[in-house]
Amino acid sequence: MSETSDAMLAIRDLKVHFPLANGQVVRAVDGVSLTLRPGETVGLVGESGSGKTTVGKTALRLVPATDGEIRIGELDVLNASGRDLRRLRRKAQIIFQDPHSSLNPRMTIRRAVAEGLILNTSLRGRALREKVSETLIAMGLPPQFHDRFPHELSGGQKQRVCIARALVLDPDLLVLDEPTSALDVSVQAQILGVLKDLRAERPSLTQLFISHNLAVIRFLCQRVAVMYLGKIVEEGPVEQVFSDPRHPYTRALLSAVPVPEAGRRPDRTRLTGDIPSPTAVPKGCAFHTRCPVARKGLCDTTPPPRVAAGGGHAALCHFAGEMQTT
Amino acid sequence: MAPLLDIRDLSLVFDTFDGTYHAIDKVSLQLKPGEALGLVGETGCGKSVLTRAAFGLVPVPPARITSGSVRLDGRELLGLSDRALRGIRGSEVAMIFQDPMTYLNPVFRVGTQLVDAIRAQSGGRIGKAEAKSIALDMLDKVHLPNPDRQFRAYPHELSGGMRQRVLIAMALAAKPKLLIADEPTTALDVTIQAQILDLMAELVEDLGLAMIMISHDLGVVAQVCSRVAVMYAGKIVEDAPIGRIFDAPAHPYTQGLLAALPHPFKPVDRLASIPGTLPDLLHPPAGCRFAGRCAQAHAACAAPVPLRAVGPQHRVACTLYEDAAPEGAAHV
Amino acid sequence: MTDLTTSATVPAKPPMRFRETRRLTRTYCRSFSSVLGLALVALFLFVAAFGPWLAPYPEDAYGAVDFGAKLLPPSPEHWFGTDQVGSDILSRVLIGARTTLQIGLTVTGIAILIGVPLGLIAGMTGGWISETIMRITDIFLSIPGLILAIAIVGALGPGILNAMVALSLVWWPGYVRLVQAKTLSQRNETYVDAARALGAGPLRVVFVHVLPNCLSPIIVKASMDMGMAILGAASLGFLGLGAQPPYPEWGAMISTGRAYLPDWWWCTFFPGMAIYLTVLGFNLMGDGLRDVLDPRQR
Repeated sequence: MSETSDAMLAIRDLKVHFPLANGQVVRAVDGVSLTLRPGETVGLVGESGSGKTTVGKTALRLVPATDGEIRIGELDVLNASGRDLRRLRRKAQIIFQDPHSSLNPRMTIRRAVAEGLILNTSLRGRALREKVSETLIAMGLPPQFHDRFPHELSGGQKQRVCIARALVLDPDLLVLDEPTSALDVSVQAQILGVLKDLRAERPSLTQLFISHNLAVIRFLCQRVAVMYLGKIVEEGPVEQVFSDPRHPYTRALLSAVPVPEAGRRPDRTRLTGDIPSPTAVPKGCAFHTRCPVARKGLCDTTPPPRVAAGGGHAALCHFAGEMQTT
Repeated sequence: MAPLLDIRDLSLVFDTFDGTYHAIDKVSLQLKPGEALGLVGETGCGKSVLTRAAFGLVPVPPARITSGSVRLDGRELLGLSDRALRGIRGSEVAMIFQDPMTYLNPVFRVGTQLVDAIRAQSGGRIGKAEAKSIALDMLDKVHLPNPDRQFRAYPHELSGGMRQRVLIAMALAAKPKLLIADEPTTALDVTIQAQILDLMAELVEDLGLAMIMISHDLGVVAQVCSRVAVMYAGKIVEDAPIGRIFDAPAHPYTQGLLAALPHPFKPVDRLASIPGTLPDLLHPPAGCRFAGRCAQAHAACAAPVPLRAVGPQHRVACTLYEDAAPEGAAHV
Repeated sequence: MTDLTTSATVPAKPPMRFRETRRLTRTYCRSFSSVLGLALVALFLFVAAFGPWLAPYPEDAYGAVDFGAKLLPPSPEHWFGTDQVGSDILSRVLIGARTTLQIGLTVTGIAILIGVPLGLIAGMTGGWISETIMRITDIFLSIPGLILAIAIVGALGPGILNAMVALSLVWWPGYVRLVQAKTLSQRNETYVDAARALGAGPLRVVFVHVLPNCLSPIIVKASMDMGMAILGAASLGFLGLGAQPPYPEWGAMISTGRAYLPDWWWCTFFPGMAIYLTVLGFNLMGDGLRDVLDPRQR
């Protein structure tokens, strides 16, 4: 680890733009900065089109960045080549939303987990086999499963395989892209349990947890960053953001979460309209088209400042300071 | 009050190459006019199949209804011709589904499809102009912004939330008595989901519509429904008012499901998960289908367990409540 | 109908690969036409392998002439009758099977060797490389295959070898199309991303991850193409551009026998039946394989 920086993952002013065939440009990520300290679990929350998944994939160089800087430890991700890129593969791993499509249907799960070791280590034969078995068993998959094909496993079991495949390389950083969205509630609980246990077992493992599910973020993460149309609009410690949201979008998001309790919730902030297309991000504050407190002549012209609320909690809103919890 | 929908002892199997798959087993469910019921369960519990089977939407074969009756307003639906069932689905029962795009034809304008649907539902008694005014009226009722403009739009020009609104308008144009909503917000974002749920609650209230909302999410159901039926492996295991489900869940499966849910506003240290997997429905156990995963299972669970009343409008299929109040006393 | 004891005692499962194979076999055997196809193909392969030993008059296949026995109708001595030079048609059909198999394998094999790599390149690269490959493929696909093959044989000169070369040259574009489409869809599967995240280079992604998942449709198409290639070669033979008499090739036999229709029908009928049953067999087998291997069936 370098002495100059104590961050495990540092993203600075990241921009990821995709040109479309018709000449428009999708501004999927448009100036995101985020820092994860070693051992920290940070949630990245947002709706479809917010760019949260793109941030995660760009951090592992699965998607090319347009501009900005990403460091994992002291490794410069965007300019890494050859040997550095191989080191990146060992250091950082990703788990995807759909466990079914993220496993090669023609490989047994033993082979799938071994793939990373074959590519990145000199482990072969017996030692390889043992390491793979050990990891799968630790993920709760007994040996009789190890020679099965993905389609013979349930969704939860497949996601355990994916986690095993990522962890077998002992990464420092794990990007989790909606790992429980495709699963049933009771299975989700199992996987969330596995992920929470990881924090105790591998205290140095840093996790970036991407999700649209605020309840899951609350359960698993220490800090949270809320994304809207390619920008982080609010970030801070989970409890502080959830109990005292400063950005109107965060407020609306929180009040829209279905809560497993009887009766409708009184504190509702309902948004009107739809999320604008990331090809035509509104000027000024991107949220002003749906914002209940937007002021004409300010929010639709001037990009909002970053307003700190103490304890690492900050929001990107002209009125963040005036927002008070009721 | 006489029930609007009365499903009794409905059993449905699928004949597969590996054997007979017992998808629905002796399910009874009543719905009063104007009541909003949530049908909740995990993948493979049979919640979608149940409602589709009741209105003849499950292809036969491979499916086969082996017992039971489905009455809508006192009229038996099982055994009706396809034509008669289509008529009922168009006029008395309306359905909306998870993915609105699949149910809109991409090559026709939204308005054309709405007008056609309305005219078909009326059996051709309504003229084009009248159908158009009904359609615009419905689009207004579902709070679609700029109904005049959206009327001329193609489905791909609308967002997911707007498409779901269009489908709701289409479903409700014939003034049905019963709306079946199968995971209507699962494909939508949280803030859009909240808008659609608000709309559905409003419509149920305003139109006096009865509704069955199928969902895997207890939180979603809680916002719209007054009563919840929990399904597990083809059986209803608990049926209770929404408040009772959250405050006093009786069936160990319901308890497990609730304990597995993370809460957005409460710190939870550990989630309880339900061990094991669904029983093999090719060879379902004769007794309680949850017994294999239940921590409180005992010898009596190997025998069939009927739904029993354990409180006002609260029924549960579990041997733990054998000495509870008799069935008759429960109905208020 | 189900008692608790049967479900309680779950039999020990055999090893995974065998179970998978058994499941596929069971699915395949469920359809009568697939089994019929397999039986026809098996019969054809058997005849191709042992034809020279099965044939009652093997020398007749290679131009033995016996004008005393010409144009005899089917009889116990000559089950399929004899042709205009007195050769036993049964012997010629049996020995001709090997030629036919050779044609099918060569044409399909060369088509796969050209088409699959081009399809993979087009599917994985995109940009101008992909465009060039696909446009050339389109040009080939836009000309009727047989006509192009006739033109090529016309240029090379008639003969069984030239016929095979010509057919191979018009057969590959179908594989490019198939493999390119399949590669495009596989490339966007998450497991390809997962492999890249694990450090797999482009070649490994193609050969370890993408290609194995494209194999099923290739196998299905190849089994059907065996039949179509045989038919194509027979057509060329019939037009006099393929195998030259007295070489025992079914299409050429029909071509020669045509002059003796309808009175001496057996000269054309039996080689015709042989072509018909072989092509039918390969097609039915291809259909059956598609039912088994198509992932949508899972």
